[in-house]
Amino acid sequence: MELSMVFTLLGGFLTAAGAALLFHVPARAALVCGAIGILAGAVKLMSGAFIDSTILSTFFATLLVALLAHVAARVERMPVTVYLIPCIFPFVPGAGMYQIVFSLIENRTGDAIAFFFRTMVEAGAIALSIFIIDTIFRLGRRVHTKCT
Amino acid sequence: MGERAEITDARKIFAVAMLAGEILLQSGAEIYRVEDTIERILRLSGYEGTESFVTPTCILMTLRDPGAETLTTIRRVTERENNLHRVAMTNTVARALCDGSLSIDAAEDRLKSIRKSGALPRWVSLLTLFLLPVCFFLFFGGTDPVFAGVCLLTGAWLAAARVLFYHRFTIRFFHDLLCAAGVAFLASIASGLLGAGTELMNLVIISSIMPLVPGVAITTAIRDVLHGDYQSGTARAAEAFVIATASAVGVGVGLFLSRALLP
Repeated sequence: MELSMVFTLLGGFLTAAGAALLFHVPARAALVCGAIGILAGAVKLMSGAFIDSTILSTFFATLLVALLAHVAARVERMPVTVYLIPCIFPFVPGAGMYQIVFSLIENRTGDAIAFFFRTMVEAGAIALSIFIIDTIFRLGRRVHTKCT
Repeated sequence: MGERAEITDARKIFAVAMLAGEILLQSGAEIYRVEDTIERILRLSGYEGTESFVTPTCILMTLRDPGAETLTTIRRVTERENNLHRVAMTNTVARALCDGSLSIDAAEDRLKSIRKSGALPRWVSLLTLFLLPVCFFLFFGGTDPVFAGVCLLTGAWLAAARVLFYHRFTIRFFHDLLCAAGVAFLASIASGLLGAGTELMNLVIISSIMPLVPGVAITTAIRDVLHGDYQSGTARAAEAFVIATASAVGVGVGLFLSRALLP
């Protein structure tokens, strides 16, 4: 295992837990977020080794994130958002959003268009993975959704 | 569902539903969660029609029944900040209220206290802002120890800017712009002095602006659109582009200044 891979896993823990604290998630839940972050970082590394596509490896990583966030939410009786948002934070295409506008500023319109489509597809892949897991979890709990 | 509530009780339920919705929306909850929570609370009134329509900047809700006064209200929400702890606590209160284990008055008190508390101490978010750039540097595969140190500098700037500017400007745009400008300036000066290539400099800049850039916003925008909430989807996408513009212009300014200073 290379040093940079270890750093990626460590970074996965720190960024997810850090994002959790930034969003005022209590310490215990922030640690859970960090743990999910490590696993998601590992999935990203492993799938990255097999398929040469950041978009697909992000998709698989966030698929795992969404799954574990739902499991953690069920176990700890918290809303899914508490785990989901901090844990997808390291994977969301924030840099892409910045690069779209930065290439426009530098008058590189072609790059801007390329970054735009890439960012939208990445954000779409993450949104899709969250939806898939949401839908799976919703299938089993139709009965309980009524209020009274 | 029980009998229709008296008008005074209905008004109370209506006010509590709005309070819960407002806290949720201001704390960065998803649109469907806000709408769903409001409607569940409204249904406690036993009125026939309950509607809620929520966008990232506004809440609209209505309670109507034949033979009773129709209640409708609209609330503008201007300040939004991610506070997932408040989302969790409001959710717990709403759930207890709906399954009957909490009275409407108790729920109102609990919601009011959530609004006052429920945030981590300020030093936690400042320390997090300080350390996040290094964490992202590692996550993106950076191994250079010197540039990890530069990330600590940029992180210190992010924390300082949060203290100095965050509550000073009426819009977030300038705060983001100044943060990004400082980060780009520091990264560019450091790589100039150390004779490193632009690749490392870009890695430092991107790692440092990750806490600012609207990655979560653009992903949520697409989630909203897929969910059928087109208004909030497009509003969030617009928000994402505004924030992205602030950070990109900031980086442009920072690089320009540093190039003027460096030989």
